[in-house]
Amino acid sequence: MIELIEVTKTYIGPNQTNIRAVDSVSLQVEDGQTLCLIGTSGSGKTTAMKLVNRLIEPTSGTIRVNGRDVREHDLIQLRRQIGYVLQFGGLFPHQTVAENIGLLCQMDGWTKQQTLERVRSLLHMVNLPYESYGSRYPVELSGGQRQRVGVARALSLDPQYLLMDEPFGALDPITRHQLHDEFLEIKQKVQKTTILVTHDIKEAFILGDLIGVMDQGRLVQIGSTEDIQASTDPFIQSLLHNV
Amino acid sequence: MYNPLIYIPSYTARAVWVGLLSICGIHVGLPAAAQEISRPLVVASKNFTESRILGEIIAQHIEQNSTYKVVRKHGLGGTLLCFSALQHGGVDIYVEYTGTGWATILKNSQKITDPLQTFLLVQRQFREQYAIEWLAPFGHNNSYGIAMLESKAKAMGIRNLSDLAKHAPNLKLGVSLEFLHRADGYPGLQQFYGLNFAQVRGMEHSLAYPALQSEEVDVTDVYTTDGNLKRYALVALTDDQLFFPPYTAAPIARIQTLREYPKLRKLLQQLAFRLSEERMQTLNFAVEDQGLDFAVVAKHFIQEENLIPRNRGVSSQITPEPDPATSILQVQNDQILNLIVEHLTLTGIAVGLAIIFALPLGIIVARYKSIGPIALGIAGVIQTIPSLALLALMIPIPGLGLGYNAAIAALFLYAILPILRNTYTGIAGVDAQLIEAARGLGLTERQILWHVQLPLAVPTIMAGIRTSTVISIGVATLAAFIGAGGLGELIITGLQLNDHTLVLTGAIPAALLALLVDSSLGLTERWATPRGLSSPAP
Repeated sequence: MIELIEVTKTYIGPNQTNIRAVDSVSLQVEDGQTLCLIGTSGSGKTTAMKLVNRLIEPTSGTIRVNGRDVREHDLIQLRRQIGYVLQFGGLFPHQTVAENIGLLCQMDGWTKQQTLERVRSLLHMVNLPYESYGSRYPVELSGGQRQRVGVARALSLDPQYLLMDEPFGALDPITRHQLHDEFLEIKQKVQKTTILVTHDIKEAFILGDLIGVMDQGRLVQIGSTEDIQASTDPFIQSLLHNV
Repeated sequence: MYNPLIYIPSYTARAVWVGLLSICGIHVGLPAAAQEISRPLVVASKNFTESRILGEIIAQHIEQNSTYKVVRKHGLGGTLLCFSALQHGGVDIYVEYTGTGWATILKNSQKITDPLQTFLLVQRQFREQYAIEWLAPFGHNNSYGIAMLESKAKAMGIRNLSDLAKHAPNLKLGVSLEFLHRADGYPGLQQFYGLNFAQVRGMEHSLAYPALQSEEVDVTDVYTTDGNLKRYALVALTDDQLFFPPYTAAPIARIQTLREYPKLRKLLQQLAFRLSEERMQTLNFAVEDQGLDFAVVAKHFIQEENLIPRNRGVSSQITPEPDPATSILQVQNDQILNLIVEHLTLTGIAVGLAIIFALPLGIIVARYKSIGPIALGIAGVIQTIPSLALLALMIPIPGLGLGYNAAIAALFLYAILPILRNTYTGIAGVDAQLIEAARGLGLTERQILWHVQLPLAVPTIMAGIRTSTVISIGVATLAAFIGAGGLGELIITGLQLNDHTLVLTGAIPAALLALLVDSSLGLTERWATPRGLSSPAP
């Protein structure tokens, strides 16, 4: 379970003004659930997500993973339990697909054979056969393929949690649609507790068990697809009507 | 054709000199070490023909007439370099001039015109300040003079420096950098005679003669013993108002050295007063115009002066002299490979050390960004020091001295900046998103450095190493000025002899070497660049 309790993150902006990127946000993601954080750019959704694996430290409030304050976890171990997927894949350009996926296993002291088997099965899961993709470099992949490799890499140590930062935002509609299906399939298989950041409310409806709407650092509403669709909040209404 | 006011030792003056010097001799050469010393004497010379000839005469004379061993360090770049090496023990003997000793080394500002008085004052001050002894002079006065084409001087009616001052606004001056800047050189002369030339240029002195011929410059500085005066049909203008101080040539050595080598003083006294300006001109001319080797000219001189013990002198007289032109060429063919190896070794060691030093420093600097500007600033300042000056600065440092080590130290300092800067920018320039990805995945800072930052910075770092190496190959040609060898030996000797073939014999291999090393490092760079960073495969 991931919990945020009264979490605030302020930045010093221009003219020495305090900017509340995340403003007293509280939420819970139960084990196996997928929370889709949605909002316009600058709404604080990405900041809120990065607080979980401590890429950003909060100004106040508490974040708990597995029932324990994240500050009490060993930082490296915490991050290795939380898979991380970036918007453009964030693949290391000097490493092959297999090396990218196997990097964490290697760092964790796995044998070559163990790593190889893990890479093979992960590539199989994201529908990229090892034989034809394992030795390619990221520049030799399409956007959708890079995103699949990014997901496979995030899952390499079989973490309990997954953070995804607009993973399908940069893709064309057809590829995105395809990856949505694959995501749901994988979700069925591996049951990760996930926070996924998106600016596309349709995507949130498709992928999320829980949807959190953020605006100007505040969590406007959190609930199921039905709860959101029934909302009378003007901001949510405008999001719905823009679809 | 020479300034009649320039000092020429008469027989009376000579008697006074000898008398005075023998008194000094008794004074100083007191405790003689009893045991024979096996350490060879280092005989050096500055980077001009006369200094080399005199150095070589001293070297051969010592070798032939004593059991002392001699190591030669010919052609060192400039007065302060030679003198600082003499002070610090890198050199034991070289020939210095009283005028230089007075103004450049002792930094006396008052004017002095009497040769004997100058010699005695300089000798005394050197003993007191440096424990260095001026031995008996060779007899000639190699003063500065001002020369122009004889035909041109006649046409314009210029006979002396006062005449020159009237015509100066229509004339271009091209002088050696040393002359241009020393107080008793151009700045003093300019004030003294009120010279206002149309143009004043500092240049490598051996380039001034061809420049006079092609009339790019009209007036230059010469030495009164310059063999080139004859060769280029130049006339030295009379110093009619007595500006130039005397430059009496004499061997100088540390008093300590004279104690350690008890026969040395007597050996050097044997060379006293054997030269006049004309005689010295002939010797210079033999090297510069007739292309004879220094060693050959020195040997002839020693034979003519009967300085060789009779039994050895006879045998060397029957030895046929090799044709000088072919002998120089043969030496080149044999030596050129050695010089290339020397050159590459110098460069290789210096760049190797620079990598060992600058690569880790670059990594540290990239991590602690606040020290970045400081480290890069220091390396940048070092880079702006002229190469010859940097070489000279290395000599007094203990453990470096004259030659190889000092050259490596200087090249090392030059090689730091490109490697440091490229390591720093290579690492700091890695896409911030990739660093965040690595961090988010749970890599430690060390793992990020080794597995992400360094591999991605490899092309930039390699480019820095490549730049450093090419710069070093170029700068290493100057290492010959401090006796560290390399292809610069040929270039510098060629410049002094105004021998374009010799200059090219050194310069072309140096340029080819730079190109070759550059392209082979380019290949290494491509090989070392991770495949994913090069252009995508089709």
